[in-house]
Amino acid sequence: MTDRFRFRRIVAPAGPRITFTLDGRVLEARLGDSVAVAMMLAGYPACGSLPPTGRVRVPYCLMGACHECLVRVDGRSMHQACLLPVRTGMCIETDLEGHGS
Amino acid sequence: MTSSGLPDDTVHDVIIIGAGPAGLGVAAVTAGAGLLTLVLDENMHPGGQIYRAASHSPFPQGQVLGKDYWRKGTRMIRRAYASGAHIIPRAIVWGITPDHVVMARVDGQPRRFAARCVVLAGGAMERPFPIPGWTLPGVMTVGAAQTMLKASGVVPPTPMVIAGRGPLIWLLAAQYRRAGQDIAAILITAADRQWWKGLAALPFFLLSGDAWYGLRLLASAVMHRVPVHRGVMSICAEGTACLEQVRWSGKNGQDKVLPARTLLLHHGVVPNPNLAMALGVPHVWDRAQASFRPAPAGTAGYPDGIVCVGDAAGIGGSRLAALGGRMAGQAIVAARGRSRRNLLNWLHSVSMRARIALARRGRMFVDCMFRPASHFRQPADETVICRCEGVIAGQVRSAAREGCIGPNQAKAFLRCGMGPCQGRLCGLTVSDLIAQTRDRDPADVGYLNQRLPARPATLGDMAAMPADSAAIRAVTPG
Repeated sequence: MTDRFRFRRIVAPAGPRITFTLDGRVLEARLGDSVAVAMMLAGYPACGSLPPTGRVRVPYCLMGACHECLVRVDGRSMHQACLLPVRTGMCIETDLEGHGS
Repeated sequence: MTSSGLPDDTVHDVIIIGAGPAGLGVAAVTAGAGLLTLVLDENMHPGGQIYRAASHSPFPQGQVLGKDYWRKGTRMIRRAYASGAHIIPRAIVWGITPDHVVMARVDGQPRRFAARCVVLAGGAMERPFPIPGWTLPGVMTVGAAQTMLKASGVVPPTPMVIAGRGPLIWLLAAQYRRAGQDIAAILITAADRQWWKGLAALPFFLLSGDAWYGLRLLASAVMHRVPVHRGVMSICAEGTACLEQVRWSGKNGQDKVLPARTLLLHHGVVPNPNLAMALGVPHVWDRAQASFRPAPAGTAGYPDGIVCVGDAAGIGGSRLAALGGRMAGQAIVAARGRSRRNLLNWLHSVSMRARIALARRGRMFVDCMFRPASHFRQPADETVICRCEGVIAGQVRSAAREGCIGPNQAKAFLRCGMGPCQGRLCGLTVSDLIAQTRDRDPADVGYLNQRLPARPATLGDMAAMPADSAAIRAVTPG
């Protein structure tokens, strides 16, 4: 999926390079981006899956309405990734099967 | 001490929720008049959706995003800060008690703020646009595309199709043209059958100042040479794991297929109702805008000390929101006996009233022109309408046929509106579907009941609140 789902920057990012972890993988991001955008740029936009169908949740509205991008951040659940700035060392967990909690 | 520089038990004269044109308009006036003013906004920087990141965008000043964005956005944000208002970003408000204690998550930490008066300036959200396949990865909203462009300079994968109806589509097309981003096609959905009712308001629209701006956007799309298809009757996102193609049909009913990695949907914006409804603000059905909005201030049952302004009070656009915000600010200042009465102030308020009246009448043209056709608001049976719970339109229709009279009964039957988005992406569709099936007006059918917390809040957030009577009331229904 990562191949087909590529978001890209068209202007030099404003913030410095940082790293965060997503379900245990160390990924790079830029300070100033939201967690949702950082995940999209890193090629891992899935935030979780929905019962009962198991449909994969990905960011839809990016402005706090759809709640499709809920993730666990540093052990605390129910964070909207689109509203949260990414920070150095942040530990993001999705609820995709086999990852996170 | 707190990030606003004041102790936690400070009682603010006014707390404003939302730092867009309306909220910053209120703040500039109330803080400018010396009232202790706090602005809470859930985004990383003030500016609202329209001026998102105007003070922090990675684009060089003046580029790509448009003259209006840079000039008006930076001026509005600068004025709000200069007025002395405390602005706290990244503050997600999930509740307000009847005695005006605002509960929020700031940077993930539970916080509370007290006020004499609370202004709801939470703005708009995009109207739900349920089509088959809209839950596939690769389908997003036009607003989402704008958000990532403004805040991070990020564009989605190509080929890209934009579909829907509304001014924002043309704004995004103009911004993408300046950014050199390709758009494979723009699919403009069919107009509502009663679109012509807005023609009476055309003269007011032409005078309102928005007309010239709109024409410039349209011209920009023409210059971009993007294929534009009008009168689109159906749109379907198709693919297995993610979006692969967009199937659509025009007036002649023939299916056409466009390969696409991105489909951006937009059917205009509607007031974001959750917080206002949860606080008990009475709402009315707005026929022209096909959405619910807060009843006018002073209506019976309006909670004490709560004011709704800007698009949160009924869609009017940024110009009306800024004007309305300043008027509301003046009313708050006057109520505290802080306004200076002189000829200049009086003339100023008369001219603002006249501009608001003109813009409001002109808005009727925009509302009727861009209102999506009813078959998009009441989609075919197999279409998922509640993304969180996976409820399809047919389920709502059969519940309505079996005697379900409104959205709250439908919620009990089907769980639509019970997911994390709390009906933001299905509420209007559920009301519309039940109204259609039972041949009633959405005004009679009503909207999903809203309750606090208006945002996801953990038990930890609530437990972290001091357990006084206000905190207990905030989490107790009724």
